[in-house]
Amino acid sequence: MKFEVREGSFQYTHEKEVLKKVSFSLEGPEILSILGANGAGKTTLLKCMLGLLTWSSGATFLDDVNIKNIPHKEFWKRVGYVPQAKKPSFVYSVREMVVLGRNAWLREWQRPGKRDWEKVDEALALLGISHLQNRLCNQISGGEYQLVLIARALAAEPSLLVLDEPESNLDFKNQTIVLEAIRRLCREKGISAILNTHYPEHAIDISQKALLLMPEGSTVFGRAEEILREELLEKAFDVPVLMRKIQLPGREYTCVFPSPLPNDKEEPIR
Amino acid sequence: MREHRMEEAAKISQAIKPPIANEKRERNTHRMHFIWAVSILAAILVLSAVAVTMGRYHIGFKEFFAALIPGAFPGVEVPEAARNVIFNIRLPRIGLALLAGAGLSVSGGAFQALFSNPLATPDTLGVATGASFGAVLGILLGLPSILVQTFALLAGLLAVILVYTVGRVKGGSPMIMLILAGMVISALFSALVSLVKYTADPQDVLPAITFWLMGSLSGTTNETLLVGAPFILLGMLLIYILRWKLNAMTLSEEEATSLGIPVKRIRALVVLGSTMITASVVSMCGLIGWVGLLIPHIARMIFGNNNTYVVPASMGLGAIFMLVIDTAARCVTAAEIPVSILTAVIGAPFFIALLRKTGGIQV
Repeated sequence: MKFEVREGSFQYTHEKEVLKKVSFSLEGPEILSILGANGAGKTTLLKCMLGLLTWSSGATFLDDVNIKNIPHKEFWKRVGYVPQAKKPSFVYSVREMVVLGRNAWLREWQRPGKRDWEKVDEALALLGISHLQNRLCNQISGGEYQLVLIARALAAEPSLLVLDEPESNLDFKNQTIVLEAIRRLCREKGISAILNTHYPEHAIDISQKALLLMPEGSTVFGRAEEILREELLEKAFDVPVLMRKIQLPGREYTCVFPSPLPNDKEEPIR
Repeated sequence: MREHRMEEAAKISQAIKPPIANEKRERNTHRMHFIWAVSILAAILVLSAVAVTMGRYHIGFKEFFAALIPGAFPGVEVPEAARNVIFNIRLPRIGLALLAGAGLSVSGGAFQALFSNPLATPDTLGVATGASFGAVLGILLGLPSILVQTFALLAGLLAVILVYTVGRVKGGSPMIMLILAGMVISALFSALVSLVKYTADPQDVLPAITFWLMGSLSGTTNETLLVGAPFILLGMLLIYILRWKLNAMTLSEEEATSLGIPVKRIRALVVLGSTMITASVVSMCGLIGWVGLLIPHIARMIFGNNNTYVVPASMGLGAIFMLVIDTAARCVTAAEIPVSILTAVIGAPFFIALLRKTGGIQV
């Protein structure tokens, strides 16, 4: 699987360009994090790259084919989209919600059959939420609902997951669960992921590649450890940034602080 | 962290073998739905038979069945007048009540899903108002009933075409634009209805219009039913086929698109089906409020929000509700009571009681 955006630009009607010539590519089981200040166009970028909004210029390519030329259903069999979690106006059970992910495999008049329900069971098991399957979506926690939305995307058996701020609005523990799930899907199932996030720490923790949206509409793309550095983050978020590595049992974790720490005379570790 | 992982691993292994309890639960749900379906169908048949025997002209069960199945009751004589009442008056009227109730309920339920708004009704896009303008215009011009019906049908379709034209903004028709356009077009047609009423002769034409607007099934004949029923049946069939897709249509447009749903096509088809139903119902029996709002919600309170079940349940429950209402409308007093009045008077308390009992709508 190769997913690529070439020189994508976008502007809403009569406004200045939000995105200017964005280019990046993702190949194989990798995680790409997209970071940028509020209003920098993260969600717009996701929607453009998926064809939910139309690029003003430039294009998205999936395995070197312009996605405009890929039939609607074929595209959504290969790409799963997890929108920002917001509860729908009619509440369904978790199973009913997840099976909606099978739509790309079914014709207009078809309803899910045995095979589709098996895929639902698989997706639920993969995310460890099988025990929730008969609960209503408004009776589960925000973190669990986010996992349900990921399961719904997985039910289509995609090779790329695109997630819009999957860990926003979640508490501490639920953030870990969701991020861990994405990491595991990438490692064990070979599913690539592109995600928007507000947390540089999360991006450093789970992603191999990163894309920074700069205030003036330009972007910086590259390997995560090269992009997620103090100077670039400072520029992107317009705030002094300090980074510190700390040793956790079994691994290293990078903390990112948005302003200078008082009484700190050490050279920052880069 | 490790403990956490183990906990998670335990959860997964527990989940991977399909729990037998789940299968059992599914079988129980299937059985429950089957029982519901059979009892609703039985109720429709029994109530229809009862409805035939009710009314000013006395017809007993024996006479009805003797007329229905010649030779079933050799001893029973069916007078020609009774035969006429059964086949040309009561049966078409009962048929229309069943169709109108089922149709309006399905159409309302489909719109609620499509607009992801529990308050949507079959008239949200102005179809019913459009159709009633066509009908009152026909009445004003003194046209025969079949032409009044045709006028109403065409005007209802015209209203939705106008809504789609007004709601179109560069390449697409966002939901909110459609709803706004629906409100505008609806207001326009209701002004036109007022204009027709204003110009109508207050001696005979105005009362006819007013009575018609309150909804009545009294004008039903085999001919009107023959013209109107196919539209209702086709519309219902269309929505019935697409009923599972309605679940995804309650999500935001982008979300539904990302699930691989051709949103515009499905939306247009559902609107088409709904319009055919509503325009045809209004063209035959005038404005009937409440059914399209009330019945789908009752169905949801019983079966949950999954439209796979809400759609057929709305059909069955709507048919029963309308049959009961119309039978009451023609039998309770010597003069006919307008159906809209009864749907509200009987429907509202019933709905409130159900709300109390089930603890509200799960939206």
